[in-house]
Amino acid sequence: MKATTLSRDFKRNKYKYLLVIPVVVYFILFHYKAMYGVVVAFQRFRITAGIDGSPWVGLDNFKRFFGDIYFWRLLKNTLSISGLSLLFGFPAPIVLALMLNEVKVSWFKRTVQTVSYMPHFMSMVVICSLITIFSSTDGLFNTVIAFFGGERTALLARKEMFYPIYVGSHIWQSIGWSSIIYLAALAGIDVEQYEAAKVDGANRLQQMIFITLPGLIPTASMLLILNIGSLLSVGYEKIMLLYTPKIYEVADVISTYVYRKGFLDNDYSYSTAVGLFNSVINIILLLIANKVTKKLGQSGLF
Amino acid sequence: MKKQLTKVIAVVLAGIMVLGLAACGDEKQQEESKVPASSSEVEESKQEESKEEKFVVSYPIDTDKTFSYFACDGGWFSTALTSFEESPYHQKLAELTGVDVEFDRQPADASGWVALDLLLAEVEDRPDAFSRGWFDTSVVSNWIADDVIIDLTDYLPTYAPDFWELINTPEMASTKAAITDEEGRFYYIPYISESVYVSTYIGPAIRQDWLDECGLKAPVTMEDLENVLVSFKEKYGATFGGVLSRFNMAGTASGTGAMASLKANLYVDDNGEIQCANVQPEWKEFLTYMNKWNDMGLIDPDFFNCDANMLRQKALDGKIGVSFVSQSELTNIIGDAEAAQNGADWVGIEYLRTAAGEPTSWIQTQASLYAQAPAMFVTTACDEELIPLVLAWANYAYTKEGIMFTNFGVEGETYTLDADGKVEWTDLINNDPLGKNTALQKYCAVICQLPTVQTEMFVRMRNVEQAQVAVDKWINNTVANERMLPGLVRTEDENIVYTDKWTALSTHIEENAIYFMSGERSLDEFDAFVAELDKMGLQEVIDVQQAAYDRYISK
Repeated sequence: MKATTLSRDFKRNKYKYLLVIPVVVYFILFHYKAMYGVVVAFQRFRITAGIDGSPWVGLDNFKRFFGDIYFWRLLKNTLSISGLSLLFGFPAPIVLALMLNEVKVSWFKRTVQTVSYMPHFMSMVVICSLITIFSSTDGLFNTVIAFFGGERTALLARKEMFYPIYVGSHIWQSIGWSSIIYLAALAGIDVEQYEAAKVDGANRLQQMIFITLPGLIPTASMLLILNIGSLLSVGYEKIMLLYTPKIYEVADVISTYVYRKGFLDNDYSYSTAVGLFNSVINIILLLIANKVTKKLGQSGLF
Repeated sequence: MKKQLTKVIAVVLAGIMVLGLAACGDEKQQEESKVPASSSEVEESKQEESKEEKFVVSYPIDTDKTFSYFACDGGWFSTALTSFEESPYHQKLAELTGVDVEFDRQPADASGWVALDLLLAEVEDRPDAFSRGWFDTSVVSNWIADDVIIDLTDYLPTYAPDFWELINTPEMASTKAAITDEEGRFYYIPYISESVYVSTYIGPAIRQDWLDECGLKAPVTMEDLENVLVSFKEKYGATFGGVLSRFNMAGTASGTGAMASLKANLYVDDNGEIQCANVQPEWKEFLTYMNKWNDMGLIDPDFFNCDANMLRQKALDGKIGVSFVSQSELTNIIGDAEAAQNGADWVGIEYLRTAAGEPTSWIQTQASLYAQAPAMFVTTACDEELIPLVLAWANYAYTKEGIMFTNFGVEGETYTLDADGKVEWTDLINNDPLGKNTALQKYCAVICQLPTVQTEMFVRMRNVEQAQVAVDKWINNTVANERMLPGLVRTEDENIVYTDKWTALSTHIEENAIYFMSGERSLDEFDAFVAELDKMGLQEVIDVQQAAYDRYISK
């Protein structure tokens, strides 16, 4: 049997190839071709001199970054924040999807869904403004705490409160939107399996454990790998809007530090070097996660 | 059927992709050739002076020529409008100067400085002139080294006579030193503040009605302030509030003679030597007071997380009695109090002093009358013959009529002068449906910020009486201007040392300042803290700045 060569496949499915070409061209032009700019990390770049005109400094920019007194603290904070977001923020949409799946009353299900993914569309600035106001000593959070007999404090000025507030608001904002993909996966599970299980005498909890969850695992593992691949990329916007020097020790991450540094000097090379470092670590983590997933029996990303 | 559908979709998508690529190319060209008609620019019409080609510097300039101007920072039309053609200011400026400048600005979604950098990178893309603000001197050095901007010095006396005259007056000496390079050459035309009044806009404010009720006078020293805070707390349960970023401009530091608030700062002392404010005993004393007041509960518990809106609400709710605010925030607070009719009387008071009659050591101000706002640069892409025109056009903003125009608009239309020469806004400004500030944006330059002179009168007229008086109090009897470091030019290697070490040092200082204040770290460890700073390379940073400063002084 002759193997399917590319030309044969093309002849048979030429319109499908045509469909895909725009996407491929987009990636080549805007992602791969642009990668050439990464060399800037090894230069002392000046935009008016261009890449050809700027001097080469080898690993200097990286040495400056690793040699910074705060390097380890920044790394620790970045990994803590994204690690905790992953630990708590990853299962949350799954749990919501499972619960919604059990709801049979259609209008209630749809209402909950809509309400839960509305926060996704709110701007980060608005949300952080709300969080700041709610966390003040007269704010909503403190009123609730006082109601239960606690003491009113400025929550965002306390180191131990920063991660809970950050992760909590992240979950609140993203739980609805992220659950959509799981609900879609759940809708694809064969109904006959449930009927067969019922016949065998399984109750609802057992059905969930033996049918629903396994049905979700392929989707979940793929999303997990993708999330691990952005572990070092904690954006500076949200943190910058919430932090204060009092909690730098837990809240100052790589991106916020480099941002403050950027005010002293328009150093494209330095920030490119930091970005390259982040990407390299992220890729390594992604590959590890992919391999582990495959070893555990799932299909992995590639 | 399915196959046909796939065919159709495939062809349509491919078509869209081709169109998209084509549009991309066009768009870029369009953006660059897009030159909105120049509307009145903030800058007064440059007076064209006669040059050997009979360039007469009188306005309107008699010419058909034009040039391109990229307004990176400032120079825009009001946000309430959609184009330069619509902007009354830009249109009027074209009429008054006689030059129809081709304005351009970056697309709304691009970051301004990056867009500017991209334009400057290629010679064919460069505009003839552009405005950019808040730049470090190293940015200018790079532009000079890469042959992007031209040296204006030789042209200025002839083609920008009013600006030249102004910059060479004795009051402008420190400004002139700040904007020229080491050999005294000019590379840009800057935005200038008329006087110290314009440079200071943040300071302390207090509730006068509560002071009167308690029978106290406005505090002068730290002890006075402590008494006031204790009384306010007992009688009204109110505290000292503030937004950390505002407080850090100067705060109560001057009460102990310190040269920094809860922030890192280098200053120059009376012997011309650079010192770090955060290792001085005065700064330790300042921290001691703040810590004591924090323990006594005199400071707002939300002090470290407060933002401007929260502060305004706290003022309205009567939760704070003393604060550090900007002039416009004070105007807002006063407006709120009036609307609520709660009798609150917020006034500005002088910065604290070590003793009555002593000058305040540190206030929010600027080292010279040169503001960090947008300055105009002329690029090497500008034709030799057009340079006089560009400069003459920019010069208008520095002539007497030009200054009135850029600050206040057109007499009779946007303002009138009363018997004492004081400016009164007309209904056109006061009754604008979108508010006074928007109206000012449409008709005046100082908010759109193109290089000109920002007059005291304008700043006063933007705020209510009490806020205007506040600034007078804030700038009274101070030496802060002399102690501030001007913008210094460092060499590339110096710059690397500076940016690396200073970011780490600032972070350490800011963090620990707050730890000392909140009590998380005991003030007994202050000496250990100073030792830590030394270990982190404080002396290296000071040496780098000292070298740059010495070069600056010897200009």
